[in-house]
Amino acid sequence: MIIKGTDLDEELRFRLYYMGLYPGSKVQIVRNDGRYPVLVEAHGSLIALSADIAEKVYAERVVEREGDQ
Amino acid sequence: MINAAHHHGTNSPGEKERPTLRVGIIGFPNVGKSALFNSLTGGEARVANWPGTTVDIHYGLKKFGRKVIEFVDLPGVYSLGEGGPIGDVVKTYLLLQRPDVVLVLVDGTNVERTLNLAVQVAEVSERVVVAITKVDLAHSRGIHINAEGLSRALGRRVVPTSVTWGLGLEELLMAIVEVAEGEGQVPLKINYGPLEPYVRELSSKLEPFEPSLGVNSRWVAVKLLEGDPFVEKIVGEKAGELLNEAREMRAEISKTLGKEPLGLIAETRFRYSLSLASGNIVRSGLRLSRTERLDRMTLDPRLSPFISAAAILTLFLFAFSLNTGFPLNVVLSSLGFEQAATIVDSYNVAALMERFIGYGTSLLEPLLEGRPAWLRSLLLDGVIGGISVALLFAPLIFTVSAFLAVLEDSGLAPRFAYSLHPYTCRVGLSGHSLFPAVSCFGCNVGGLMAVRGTPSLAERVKLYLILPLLPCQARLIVFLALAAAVGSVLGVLGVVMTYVISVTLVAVLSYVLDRFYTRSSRPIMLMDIPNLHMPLRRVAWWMAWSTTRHFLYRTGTIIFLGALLTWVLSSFTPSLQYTPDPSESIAAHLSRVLVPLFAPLGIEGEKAWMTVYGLIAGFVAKEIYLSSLAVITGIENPIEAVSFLSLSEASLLALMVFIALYVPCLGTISVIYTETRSVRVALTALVLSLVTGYLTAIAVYHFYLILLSIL
Repeated sequence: MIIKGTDLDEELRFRLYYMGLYPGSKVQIVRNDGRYPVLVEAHGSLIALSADIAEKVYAERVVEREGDQ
Repeated sequence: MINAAHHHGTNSPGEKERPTLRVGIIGFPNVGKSALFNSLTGGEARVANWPGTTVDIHYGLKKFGRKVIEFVDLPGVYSLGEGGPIGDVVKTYLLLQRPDVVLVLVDGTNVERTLNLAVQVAEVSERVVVAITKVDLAHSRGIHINAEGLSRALGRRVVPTSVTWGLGLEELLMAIVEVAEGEGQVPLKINYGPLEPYVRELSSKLEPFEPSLGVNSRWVAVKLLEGDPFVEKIVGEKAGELLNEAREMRAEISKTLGKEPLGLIAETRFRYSLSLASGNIVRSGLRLSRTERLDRMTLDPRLSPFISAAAILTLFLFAFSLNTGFPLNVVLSSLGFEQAATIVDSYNVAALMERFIGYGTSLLEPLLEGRPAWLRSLLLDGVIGGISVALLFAPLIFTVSAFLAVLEDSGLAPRFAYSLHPYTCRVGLSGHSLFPAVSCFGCNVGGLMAVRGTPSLAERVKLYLILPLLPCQARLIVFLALAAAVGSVLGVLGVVMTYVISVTLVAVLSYVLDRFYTRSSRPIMLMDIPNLHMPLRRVAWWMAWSTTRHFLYRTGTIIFLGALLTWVLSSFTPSLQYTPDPSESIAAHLSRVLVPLFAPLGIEGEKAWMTVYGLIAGFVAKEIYLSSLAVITGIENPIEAVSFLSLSEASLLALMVFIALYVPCLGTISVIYTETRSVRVALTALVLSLVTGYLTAIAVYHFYLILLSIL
C-alpha cells in the first residue's frame, strides 16, 4: 500500500509522518481484523493505529513487482 | 520552558567534580539507551526533574583521560517532530542548552528505522557522534552493518557498540572527545527537491537571526515549513515577522505542489535515511529467534489478551504479596497453611520496615531521657515518624518500578497496550492508559507520571482526574488494617469490594467525563511497537533504584513536611501551647467540628473524632492514618487501635471505601499539577475524589445495613 494522505489534525499528523507514514510511503498492513488496532509495517517498524486514526489515513493498493521491497 | 537554559546551573548541583564536557544522549525508547548510559557512567547517576516538569533526566559522570564527561540521558523519542512534554524537553535541550556533543543512538537490529533520528539530529547539531547499539544481537540475526560507509555518508563518527560484549565503549568516548575538541561539523544538508527554492529563500531571510537563534538557519527554515510548533514559538520571539511569511509559504506550497510541506519533508528525509541504510546493511540467513517467536505470540489476536492480562496480574499479585503480604496470606490461610500465612504476614516488606523503625525508635528513646517533653515528642513522633512514613513508601515504589522497568525495557508494555486496547475502549480509554492505570495500583505518583505517553490530550486530562481513585499499596495497607478489625471473611470481602468499587468508578467516571467534561471522541492509539528483547537485569535494577531515590527526595520531602505539620497540629492546643494529650490539640478540635459530616457513615459518638482525626492526617499520605491512630489511641498495634474505635461493621466498610477514594495523597496532587501545569485540573481531581469518596462511602454504609436487615 502507498499512503496518499490524511485528515488528521496537526499534532497527530506530525507523529504519523515522523513515524514513517507520510504520503508516498510504502507500507504493509500486517493485520486489520476490525477488532484490534490496525498493525502496519513501515520501514522496518511495526505501528499500531486505532480504527479512528486508520480511518483518516488514505492509502492505495499497489501491485508489487518482482524484486520490489 | 524556553528559558530553561537558566536553570541548568541549579539543575546539576552538588557534584564534586565539575564536568568539562556535556554530552546529551538521544535515541528511541528501547534502543538500548539506558544500558549504554549505565555502562558508560558505571551506574552512578543522579536523577533530576526537568525544570517545571516531572520528566526525569538522568545525569552521570565519566572520567576519561583528563576529561570529566557528564552524560545526560534524555527521555526516549522517536523523532524531533514529537510534541508533548517529552518532545519539548528534548528540543529545549538540543536547541537552547546546546550540549558540547550530541550522542545519537541507532538500533543495530533496526537501522532502517532508527537511522532517521540520527539524520534529523545531524541536520541541526554541529557536534554529533552516532553509536550503533546491540551489535551483538544484530550479529546473531545475521545483520551486517558497514559503520565506515555510514560514517562517510553522514559526515559524522559512527561507532558500533555492544553493552553485552563491552564493545566500542572506549572508542565511543574517544570519538566524543575528538568531536568536542575538533572543528564544528557542517550540518547535514538533505536536498528537499521541489521545496529547495522555498527553503533557501526562508533560510537567507533567517540568516541575520542565526546568532540569536543559535541554530543553522537552513534547519530553522525547514522546521518552519513543516510548521513545528516548538520552533515557531522560538522564532516568534526573535523574528516574529518571518513567522507569517513562513505560514504564507506553506499555504502556497500546498496549493502549487498539491502536497503539504510537512509530508514532503518527512518523505524526502525518510528516503534519504532509508537509502543510506540499505546501502550499508547486509542481511543474511535470517533465523527466527526465540524472542521473535514470543514476539508473534504477544501479538496473536486470540492469545495476546490472555497473555497480557495474566502477565500483568501475576506481576502485581507478586509485588503486592512481597510488599504487604496480601493477598498471598489470605490464599495460604484459606488453603489451610496457617503457619505459612503467618510467616508471610510478619515477613513482608511493610511489616519488616515497621519493625525496623520501631526498633530504631526504642533505641533512641533512652537517649532523650530528661529532655523537655515537647522536644522528645518532636524528635520521636514528628521527625522519626515523618521519615519512617516516607521510608515505608520506598520499597513499595521500588518493587513496582522494577517490574515496570522490565515491561518497558523488554518492549512488552506496548504489546500489552495493543492487545488490551479493544477492551479498554469499552470504557472510553485507549490501550495507552493501561500501563499508567496498572501502575496506579502500585503507586499513584508513578502511575500518573506514565500518563504522558498517551497521545490524546483530552484522554490525558481525563486520566489525571480518574486514575487517583485507584487505591495504591499505601491505601491497601490502611484498609487491610481496617479489614482485620472487621474480621476475616467479611474483611477480605471488604477489600475485594473496595477494589471492585474503585475500578467500576473509574470506568463510570471515564464515560461520564467523556460526555460532560473532556468531550473527547473515541480513544485513539498511535504507537510504535518495538522488537522484543531480553531486558537487562542491571537496567531494571538501576531504573528502579533511581526512581526510588528520586521519589524519596521529591515526594519524600513533601510527605516529611506534611507529617511534621500533622505533628504540630496534634501536639499544640488552639492557643499554641504544647500538649502531650492529642485530644486537646488543634487537630482534635478540627476533627470534632468535622464529625457531623461523618454521621451518614454511622461514625458518631464519643470516639468519632478519633476516626476523623486520622482522615485529616491522611491528606498528606495514607499511611499516616495508622500512625496517627496509634498516637491518639495510645495503642501501638494498628488492628487493636482500629478495634478501639468501636465502629460498626457497616461503618468500617464505608470507611475502607472512603479511605480508598478520598484525596489520593499530597504527592499525587502535586504530580497532577506539575504534569498539567493547571491548578484547575489538580483541584478538580482533589474535589472529584472527595465527593466520589464521600457519596460512595454513604452508599456502601446504607447498602450493608439494608443487606443486614434482609438476611
